[in-house]
Amino acid sequence: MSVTLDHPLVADYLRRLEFASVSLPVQRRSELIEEIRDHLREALAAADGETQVRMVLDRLGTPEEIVAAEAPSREPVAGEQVSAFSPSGSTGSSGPAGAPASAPARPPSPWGPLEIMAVVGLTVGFVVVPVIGPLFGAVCACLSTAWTRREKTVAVVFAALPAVLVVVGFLAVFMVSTGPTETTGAGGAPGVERVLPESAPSAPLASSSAVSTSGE
Amino acid sequence: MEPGTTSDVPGGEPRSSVTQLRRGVLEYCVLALLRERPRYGFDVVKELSEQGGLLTSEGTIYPLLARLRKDGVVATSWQPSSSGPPRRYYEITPDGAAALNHFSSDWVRFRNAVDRVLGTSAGPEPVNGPSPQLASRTEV
Repeated sequence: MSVTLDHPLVADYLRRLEFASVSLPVQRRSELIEEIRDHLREALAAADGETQVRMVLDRLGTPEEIVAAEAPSREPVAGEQVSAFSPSGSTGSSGPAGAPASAPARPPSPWGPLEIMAVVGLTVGFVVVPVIGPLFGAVCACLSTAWTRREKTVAVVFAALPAVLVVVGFLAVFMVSTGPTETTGAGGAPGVERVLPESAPSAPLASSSAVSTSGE
Repeated sequence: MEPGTTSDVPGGEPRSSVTQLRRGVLEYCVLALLRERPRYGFDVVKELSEQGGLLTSEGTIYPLLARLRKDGVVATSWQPSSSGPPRRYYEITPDGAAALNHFSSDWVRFRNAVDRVLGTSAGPEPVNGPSPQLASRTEV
C-alpha cells in the first residue's frame, strides 16, 4: 500500500513548503514545489505507515532548509561555484571583491539633542521662524554624528528648498507684474513663469514632506 | 572509525567541516552521475543517498540542480515516464563535462595532498567508507 500526497503529514509538509518558498521567484517556486511533489510521490510509493512517511520527510529535509539552498542562485556566493564554471557563468566576474567589504555595522543611531533640534528647526522652525529656523535645523543636522551624509543632504535640501521656491516665486511675480511687455529675460522668463503656479502649492508640500522625512 | 561526524540525521546535522566539504563537492558528484546518463531528480537523489554521507537533506538537491542548469552545466528535458506523468530529465552539457573534468584532476591533486598531510594516504588498510568508490568514479 502506498501513501499519497494527501496524507496529513505530507499535506502539512507541502503547506509549509509553500509558505517557506514565498520569497522565491514565482516560476522557480512552482517548479521547486512540483519537483518536491514528484519526489514525494516516488518516495512514498514504497512507504507504508506513518513511521515510513516520517522517514521520507526527514530525509527530504525541512522546507526551510530546501528553500535556503535556493539562495546561492539569487545571490551568487562570491567567486564560489559561479566562478568554477567560469566558461559559462556570466556572473563570475562579480568576484569576491565586493562581498567581504561589509562595512562595520553602524550602531543604531541614537537621537541626541542635535538631531531633535534639527528636526524641530526644519519643521516647526519653518513656520515659526521662517528663515532662521530651517537654517538652524540644517546646521544642527550637519553637526550630527548619528546621521549619515545622505540624511544630512536631505535635511539641507529640505531646508533650502522652500527658500529657493519662495525666492523664485517672488522673482516670477516681480517679472510678470513689471514687464509682460519687455521680454528681457529671453531664456529665463518663460521658465520662471512656468515655475510660478507650481511654487505656491509646492512650498507647503515641501515643508510637509520635510516633516515626514526627518521624522523617520 | 569515525570519519568526521557525518550523521545522516537531517536537521540534527552538526556544522562540521565535512558539511563544508560536502557542499563544495556535491555538485560535481551530481555532474558525474549525469555524465553516465541523463537522470530525473529522484534518480539523482537515490543514487547519491546510496553513497551515504553525501546527502543530508535530499530536498536540497533540487535547488542545486536548478543552479547547475542556470550555470549552463546541465540541461533539462521532459521525458515520458512509464509510471505516471512525464519527468524532467537532467543531462550534462559540454560545459558541464569540461567543468567536471577540470574538477576531477583538481580533486585528485587535492585529495592526495590532504592524504599526505593527514597521513591517511593509501596505507596497508584500503581507504575506508563509500567515498573511494565515488573518487574512482570521478577519476574515470
